[in-house]
Amino acid sequence: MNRVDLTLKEGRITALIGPNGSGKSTLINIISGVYAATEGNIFFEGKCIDGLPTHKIVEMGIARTFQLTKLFKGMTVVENAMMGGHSWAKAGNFFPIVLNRPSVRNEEKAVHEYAMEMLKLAGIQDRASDMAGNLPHGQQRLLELARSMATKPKLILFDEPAAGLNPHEEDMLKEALHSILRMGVTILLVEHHMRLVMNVSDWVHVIDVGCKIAEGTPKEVGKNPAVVKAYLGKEY
Amino acid sequence: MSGNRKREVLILLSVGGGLALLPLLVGEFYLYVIRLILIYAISALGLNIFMGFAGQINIGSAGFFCIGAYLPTMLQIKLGWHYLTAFPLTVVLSLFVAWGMSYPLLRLRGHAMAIGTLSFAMAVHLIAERFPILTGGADGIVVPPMALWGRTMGNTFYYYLILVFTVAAYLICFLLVESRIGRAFRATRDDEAGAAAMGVDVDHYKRLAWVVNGVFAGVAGSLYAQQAGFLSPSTFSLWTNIIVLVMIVVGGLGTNLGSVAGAAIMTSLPYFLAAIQQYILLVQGLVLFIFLRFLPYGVIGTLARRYRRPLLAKKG
Repeated sequence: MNRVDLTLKEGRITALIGPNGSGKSTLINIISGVYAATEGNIFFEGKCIDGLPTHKIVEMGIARTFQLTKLFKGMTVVENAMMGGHSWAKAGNFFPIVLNRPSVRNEEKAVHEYAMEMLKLAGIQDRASDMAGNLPHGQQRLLELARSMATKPKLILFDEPAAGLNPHEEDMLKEALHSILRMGVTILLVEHHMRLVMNVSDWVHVIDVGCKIAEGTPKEVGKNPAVVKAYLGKEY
Repeated sequence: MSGNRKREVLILLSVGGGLALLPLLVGEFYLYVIRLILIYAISALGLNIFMGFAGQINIGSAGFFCIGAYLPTMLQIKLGWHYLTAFPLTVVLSLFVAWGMSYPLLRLRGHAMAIGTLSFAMAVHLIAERFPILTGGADGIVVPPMALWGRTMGNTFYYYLILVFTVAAYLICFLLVESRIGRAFRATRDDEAGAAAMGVDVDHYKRLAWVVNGVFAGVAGSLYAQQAGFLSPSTFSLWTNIIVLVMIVVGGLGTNLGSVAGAAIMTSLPYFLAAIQQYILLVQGLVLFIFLRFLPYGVIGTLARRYRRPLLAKKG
């Protein structure tokens, strides 16, 4: 990646598009602390977050999904979503748990409730007690969305959430994105799916081979000749 | 959730209560075998936390078993301590050894980590053999029997002591696996990157599982020494490492009940097959093979899948 500067506006959907291999996922991996940036900084709410481990970044309020889902397949759907509570419900330490303290039990209830709410938001609440590995592909993607929302993030990074969704699931995704916005969460949407990007995003950044080549509203970007050449193809 | 859990705790406590009546019903020999089963169940439950839930490989439990066995024994012999005062120190020492070991160990992954755990157990075994001052050496030592209120305690007392610890160990595992910590373990097992993205400090939870594994094995070892009355380094051979692993595989990885069932099956097997004792290793190997090949979820895992569908898929 080379000289990409990106500002995300609070409470909006910012999209990041670019051809395969242009570095979109790499950027998400850098923000979420999987890779370290060799140069430059990442600021979140005025604090520099680069170099922090992934779990600390989640605690600060940045959640993410993965391009290839990374669900916990040996756990149930609701347990997957309950993992979101790990970063904000912290009464569950070793001794309180093995002593079965009321604080732990109450917190479990709260985490479970919130997880169910997020499953509802993704529209998969009736699969709550199935094993996550048994869900069809599209629902697995929606579960990843629910799971990362369950961390109560302020910013959420979506890595190609629409890949492999059928039209019905795509509608559910769109609806979920709107509900997420209504909850006041900022979204960075990395996506290939142009119809979705043009439809939902407020601001679009375009990168190619690790460099930013354009930014603007979806309409402006769609007309930018450099973008059309690099990404959309001549016939678009 | 809580209704189900309460019922399970009640079942567990009544099973424990039923087991408490056993000394009245069965003879000395059976009581001995059941003591061994309960001791191995503690060790298997701990290993299952690390392997079945946190998804790491440990083939060196015997290292902790050995430390747990020798420490209170030597404190009794050399310093004249009472077993019950030496016991807490055993727990603390296994905890610290596990904690210290975890730092180099967590730098390794997968099979390399497994070899790391094995070399730890081998090192402990060698120390036990080569330092007679610490352990009495390769010839072994007699463990002094425990006295309480001026009376020497017998096998029935040890049985109750062991039973209390086994029930406690089971309760701890039971509460742990469906808690925030248990979920973090299983998430780490299923997908480390995914777990980190949920805010799980993966290394911390691997360490915690390893420490639970170490302390449980230490406690099991210490109970073993006291009830056996005799210790030698050969008690903690490579085979001791493997047999506990076989137990949790046979019982069902990732199920607490499976650890206990596996301990019962693999511990009692040699006594059922006393007539062909010289082939017992062969039989045990065959059992492991059959389970890995045909019943990879183990006894309990297979039953749970058949009768309750996914074991952990309880209605919220």
